[in-house]
Amino acid sequence: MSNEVLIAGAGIISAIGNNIPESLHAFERHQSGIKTAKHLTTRHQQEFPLGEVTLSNKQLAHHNGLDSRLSRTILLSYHAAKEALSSFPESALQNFRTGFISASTVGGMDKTEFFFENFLNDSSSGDLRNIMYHDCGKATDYVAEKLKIKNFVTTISTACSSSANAIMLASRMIKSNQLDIVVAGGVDSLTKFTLNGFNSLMIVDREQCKPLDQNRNGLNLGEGAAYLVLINEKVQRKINLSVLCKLSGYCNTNDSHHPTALSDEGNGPYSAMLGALKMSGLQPSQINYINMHGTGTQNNDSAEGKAIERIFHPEYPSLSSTKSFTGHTLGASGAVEAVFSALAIKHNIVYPNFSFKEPISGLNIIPEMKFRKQAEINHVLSNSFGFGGNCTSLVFSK
Amino acid sequence: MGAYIKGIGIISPQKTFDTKFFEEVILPFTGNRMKCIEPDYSLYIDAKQIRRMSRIIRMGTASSVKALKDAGVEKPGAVIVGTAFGCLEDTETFLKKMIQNKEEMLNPTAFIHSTHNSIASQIALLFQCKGYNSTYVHRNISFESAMMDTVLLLQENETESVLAGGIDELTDSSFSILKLLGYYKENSELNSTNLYDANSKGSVAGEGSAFFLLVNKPDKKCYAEIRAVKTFSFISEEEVASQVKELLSEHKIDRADILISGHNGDLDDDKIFKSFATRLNMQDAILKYKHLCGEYPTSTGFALWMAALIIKKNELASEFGLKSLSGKKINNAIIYNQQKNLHHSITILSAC
Repeated sequence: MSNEVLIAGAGIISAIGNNIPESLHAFERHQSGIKTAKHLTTRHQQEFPLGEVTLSNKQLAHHNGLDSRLSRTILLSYHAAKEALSSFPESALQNFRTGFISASTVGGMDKTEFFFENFLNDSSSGDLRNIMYHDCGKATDYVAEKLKIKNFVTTISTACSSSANAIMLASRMIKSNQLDIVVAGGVDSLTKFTLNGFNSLMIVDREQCKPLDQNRNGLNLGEGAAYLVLINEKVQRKINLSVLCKLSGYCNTNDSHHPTALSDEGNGPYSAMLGALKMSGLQPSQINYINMHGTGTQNNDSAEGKAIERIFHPEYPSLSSTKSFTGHTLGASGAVEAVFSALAIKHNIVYPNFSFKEPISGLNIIPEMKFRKQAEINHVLSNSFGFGGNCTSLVFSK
Repeated sequence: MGAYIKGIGIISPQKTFDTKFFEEVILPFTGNRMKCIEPDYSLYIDAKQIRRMSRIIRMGTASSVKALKDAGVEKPGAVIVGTAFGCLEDTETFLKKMIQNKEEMLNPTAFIHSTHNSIASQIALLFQCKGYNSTYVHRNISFESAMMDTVLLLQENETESVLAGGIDELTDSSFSILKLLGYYKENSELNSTNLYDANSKGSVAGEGSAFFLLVNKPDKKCYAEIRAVKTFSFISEEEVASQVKELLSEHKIDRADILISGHNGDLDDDKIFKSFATRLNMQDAILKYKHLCGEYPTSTGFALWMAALIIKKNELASEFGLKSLSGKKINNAIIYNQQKNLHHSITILSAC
């Protein structure tokens, strides 16, 4: 019996749209979601444009029939997971072994930072309802219970590759016959904590970010959630869903170079991409599109570019960084971009970079500039690299 | 391909790191908070690096060094960590500065090390381990998630060895917040002899760092084989027990010799532990451990160390209070833990 893992559903919310149709529409109109934030209260509000989801907590809660006092992380996570399962018969979740694997780096920090302000003044004060959401597992539990998923639940946190690893684990658990259906992805909401953290590292762009450009000046932080529904062939034979694509390869490596920087040669990214290609049984020339990690920082884009050059030179597939539209959604970014990659295959599309003027010196990496339909997108490589050297690449195939 | 524990490094509120705990007097506790006994880190980590590390990173790194040394392995093929709360000290430091400085003039060091994955990545950096690297952050099944991944990775034949750990630190803030949330009993009169009889809500706070080097082929050095690790979420305790029975029969184990159980002194939690043991007909083989390490989300790391040692040495310290088993060969052990009837976990171990 072949052991394929199929993608049978997807859901997404980010700065460019509250669902899949809105997201695709934003790419088509070349509309970036990066602008002055409306919901995050920070003294840097006017200083840094952000990829903020347009809906407020109240609107998200109202839309999904939830309590608006929940953490934004939970609200976003449930919103996207629900879309991912929208065409899925509810009975299937009960009749098969189902899991929910989520990922996050901030957890309920959006609430914790309010709690802590009071707590600092007086350790017996602070609204306990605001600290209940702190740990990353809380959001996963809340959403899993709402979705009535009960066999297997866990949460991964490997910085910016977190949700790519959630998708990878989902596939491995299906292949090892532990689960039949897994909703896998991740979520992160914007917080003062992360904005100030990245700002203290001096890698946040004060304007719209410019990934892959010689004159790039840092990243724009974003927020969002995205999930894929991964199933085995047994489930597919039983309920015959419309399948987007399959997950044909993945690889997780560690760059082991520096806590916050990739090695100049992009060794971790290189071996992650190579490992994922090897597993999918594909030659580099068979990849039609690469959704790059492409944060817009000096370090990431040159290291990732170098690693791509080492594998693909001289014939590069189409490539771009969709973070120039969504901002860097941190723990959600691997899943956000996995959803874009799966849709690229389903609709035979290539996503653009928001802007591009000059290639990085010494590298011949020229991103796509226009949203376009291509004759055939059969294989897409999606990269996610994070602090701590955590590198994961995924390959999606028709 | 199996999964065998070959090396262990563990820092806990007991003398588990530098000395042989079973042979020492078990340290009694008083009050509602147990703290780790930390080793002289300079014996295990380069002095320059120690200064840059927060307490949890020091504990994780030293335990890892020890686990590898114990196994006689230089570099693991993969690093997988479970931590529910991650690097709390650095998170608090950055949060505090951010609030006090009103979002200006912040030093990035604490932020860099506040991420949950910084423990696993620091370990990878130290050993130059370029293979698979992951961090699980799911409440009281964080360590079990890491162990499930470890067993799977070894089964997939992806690598020959995995360094897996369960680690959580307690800070003054996290202690007071969790106390406010009802996780711990009042300080007065609580001690190691009355924890399980208190007939009240809450437990005693604990912390620890337990790292294991696991390999896919057994040898003489190995402590025990991990036969299975499984977690159960949002199902009734009755259903958990019946699934555990199925799992045991899949592994051809009629009845394990000991049940290392997560009893924590909380009235409601202990009811579930008790009824689980009854359903498995193992009431006379229960070994409790939280009076030794306290309650914390990755406490099963401590339990796994205990199980591995008991199986390897085939002996039970008298302090464990299981006289009925003395002299009997211990072939199999199961570890069962749960919290608030939400997530349950089971680990099955056998002698190699």
